[in-house]
Amino acid sequence: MNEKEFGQKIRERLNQGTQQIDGITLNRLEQARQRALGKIRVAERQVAMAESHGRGGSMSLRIGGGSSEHHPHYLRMLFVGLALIAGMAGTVYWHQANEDDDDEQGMLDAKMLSSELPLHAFLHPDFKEWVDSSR
Amino acid sequence: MGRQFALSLVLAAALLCGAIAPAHAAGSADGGPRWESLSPEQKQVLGPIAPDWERMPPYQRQRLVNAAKHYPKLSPLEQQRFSERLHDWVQLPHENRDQARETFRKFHALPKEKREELKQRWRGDPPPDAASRAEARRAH
Repeated sequence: MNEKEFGQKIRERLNQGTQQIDGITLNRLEQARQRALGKIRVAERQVAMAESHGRGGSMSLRIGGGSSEHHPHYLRMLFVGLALIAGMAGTVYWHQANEDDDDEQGMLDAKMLSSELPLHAFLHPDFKEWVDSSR
Repeated sequence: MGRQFALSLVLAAALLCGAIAPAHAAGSADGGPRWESLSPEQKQVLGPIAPDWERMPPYQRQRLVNAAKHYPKLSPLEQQRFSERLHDWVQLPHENRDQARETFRKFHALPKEKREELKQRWRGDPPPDAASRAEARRAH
């Protein structure tokens, strides 16, 4: 008898065995199975929560004492979203400030180049002194 | 969750790069605006210095582009002065340009009467009070 034939024999015996089990025993076996499955589900949930808290660190705060283990995930996404918005706002502000500076410098250069006074006046030490003493 | 977090960061970085990139899109490899990237109007305003453009440092090219933006707001006489002085302006050493800007900034911040007084003084005109006194003496 090879391994395959041996496995087939066992299956036949087991099938015969289950057909001979009475209803009360079958019911008790079904209840035991459900209890075992329930314990496995609880254990899996606890492991998932522990992992979530471990990764979340200080971000794993509970809002309003809620019991959902999904809060750390939402908080993390909220944090990323806020960081993204802050980064975008900072970038826009930085660009705006640079553009304002550029615009002001450009205006000053344009006014100087088109001034009634020649360029060399603004380079002349006497004129500089007059300006300084007029302030 | 870690993968989502990493993806979020990558997305954030990509968006930030997307926001910054257009500002530099018209720039050359050294960071300054290329002559080819200028608008026809800017090319016309900065035409007198076109042959010198690529030799200029990036920051100088950028400042000239910024100045050219204000050209349309100038009067025809001012536009003429702007165009005539542009070539001499870019030939000046960087330190001299900064010095001229600083003096002009102070001059521009003065009250109008003071500015007029300094203009007349520079041209060698007599001060307004002396001129009016001389006029009054001649009248008598």
